[in-house]
Amino acid sequence: MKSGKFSVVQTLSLILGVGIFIILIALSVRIYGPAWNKGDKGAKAYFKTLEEQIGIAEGGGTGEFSLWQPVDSKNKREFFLIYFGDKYKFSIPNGRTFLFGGKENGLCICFWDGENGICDYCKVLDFPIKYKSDETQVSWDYGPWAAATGEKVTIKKIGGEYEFVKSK
Amino acid sequence: MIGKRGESDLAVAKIIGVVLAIVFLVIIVSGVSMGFDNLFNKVEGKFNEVLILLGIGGDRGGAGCCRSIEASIPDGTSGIVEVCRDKCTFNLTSPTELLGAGKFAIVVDSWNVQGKFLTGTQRKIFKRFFTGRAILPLDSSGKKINLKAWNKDLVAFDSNSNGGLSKDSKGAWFDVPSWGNDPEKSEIERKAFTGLTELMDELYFDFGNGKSKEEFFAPMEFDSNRKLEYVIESRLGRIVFKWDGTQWTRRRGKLWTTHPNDDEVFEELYRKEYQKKGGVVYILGEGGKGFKELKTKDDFRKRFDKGKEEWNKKMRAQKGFLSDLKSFLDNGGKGTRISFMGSSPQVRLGWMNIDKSRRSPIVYFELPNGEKFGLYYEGGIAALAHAYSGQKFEPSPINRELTFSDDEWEQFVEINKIYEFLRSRGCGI
Repeated sequence: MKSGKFSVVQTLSLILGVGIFIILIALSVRIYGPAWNKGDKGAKAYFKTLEEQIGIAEGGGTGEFSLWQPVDSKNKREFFLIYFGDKYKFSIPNGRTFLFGGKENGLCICFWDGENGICDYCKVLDFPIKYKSDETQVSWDYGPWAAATGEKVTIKKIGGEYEFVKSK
Repeated sequence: MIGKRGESDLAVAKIIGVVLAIVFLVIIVSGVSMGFDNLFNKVEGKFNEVLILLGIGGDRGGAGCCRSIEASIPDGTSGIVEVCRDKCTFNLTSPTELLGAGKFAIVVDSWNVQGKFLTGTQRKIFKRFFTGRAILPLDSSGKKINLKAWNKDLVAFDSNSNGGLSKDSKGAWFDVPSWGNDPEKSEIERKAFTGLTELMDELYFDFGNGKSKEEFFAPMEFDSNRKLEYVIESRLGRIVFKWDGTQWTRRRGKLWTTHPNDDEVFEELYRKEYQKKGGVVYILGEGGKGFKELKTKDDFRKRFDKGKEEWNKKMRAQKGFLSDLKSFLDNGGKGTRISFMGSSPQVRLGWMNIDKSRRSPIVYFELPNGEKFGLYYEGGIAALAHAYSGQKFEPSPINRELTFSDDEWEQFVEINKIYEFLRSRGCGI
């Protein structure tokens, strides 16, 4: 030891210390970094609720779904429920385009991150959705649509179709 | 020794503790001073960069954020569709090529086709396919082939407002106008073209008398409404002599007079050209062909008579041809009606405006909804024209493609189906 060499305990402590340091740094990045993406986590949470509500509709009940989280004014993050129908792309006002990575009947929780539309949480439905943008609308739409923050949809499954009706 | 070892252990622990404390202090202090969001964004950015570097992450936003989807067109081709914000690309997997191209894309709202390994024959097909447009062939290594030979076309292409060209290391992209790409409409036009062409072939067999097709159908291109015109341009103004087959008409300004005599017309033309000087005589519609090269009055007269004789000959030929054609169509002959889309419309003879100054005979039929399809000739080649109810005939935008072989045509239609498929999926809108 006089020669200045580390003892086994010291070496282990050093390795442990460095390990803890790396773990702490990794944890910091994990918490604050992209893996802790607020949009992604929010979309994931919404998607879980959406799946539950669709499950209720499939069981013969009436599901309800709404996007309650206010628009993040700082980074303009905004969530949407988007039905793509048979389209690969869907655009909403202000040039916001969202892409769907499946063939058809895609229902997604998407968010606009200020620059891009991101739809990572999608459910490919076995049946198409017919849709009314409000309860007074006479005919059903089968094309793509989007519901934004503060809007609520009721979900039913009648025969071989889902019925989505939007209300404020 | 034990005490010293304990001191050393303590020192190491202290060092580690101090380092960790400094790190946390730095994080907290910079977090407070910069605002935590900024710090998070910075760390997030750096973390992303590392992930991208390691190949386990990617930029989730930006123009590079695309989706790939397997797609099959009913009764047609299969491929992988890559959907991006401003571009949808259809990469063929089965078959791997159509008319020599394997990749098709709608970029914003323009239609692009990419051919990577075009053979000589395929280049010819593509040159026809991209009517009047250029093709920049690249070999399999991306090296330009025979670029000089294509330079002229490129210049012509650049000046064409119908599209543009861009190239990457793998091949060349060609913009194609979107009109004419409706596969259903293309098939209907092909049926009309084939039906009318077969009808005209029957006429050729009945009345051809050993002539070549080009020669036989030449009267279909003669514009008898546009009379033979000799024009004198001089300092005194413009005088026009018109020959309608029976008499001359002389026009100066708003004044019209008739000239029954060839000699009077000739003498006036000759005097203006050779005696008053400064005047120019030419036959209208012959590319400004004039009489300048003629040295003697006799040469001048021969040219004058020849012009009139040629015009009369064409006129007579057209009258005879159209008379034969009319009797072929009207007298209950085998070509009177054609079978078209479940109906058998009557085929008639009419005229269509090729452009503002030219008219041409046309054989056409009319559908119950008033829509018309007709066949006319240009440069000895049959071409299709279409008219909606109550509107004038317009040349088909796919006239070159209508002459494709059956195999080429099927591939052309498949390309059209890919275009329609991408449009129906929200691309290019």
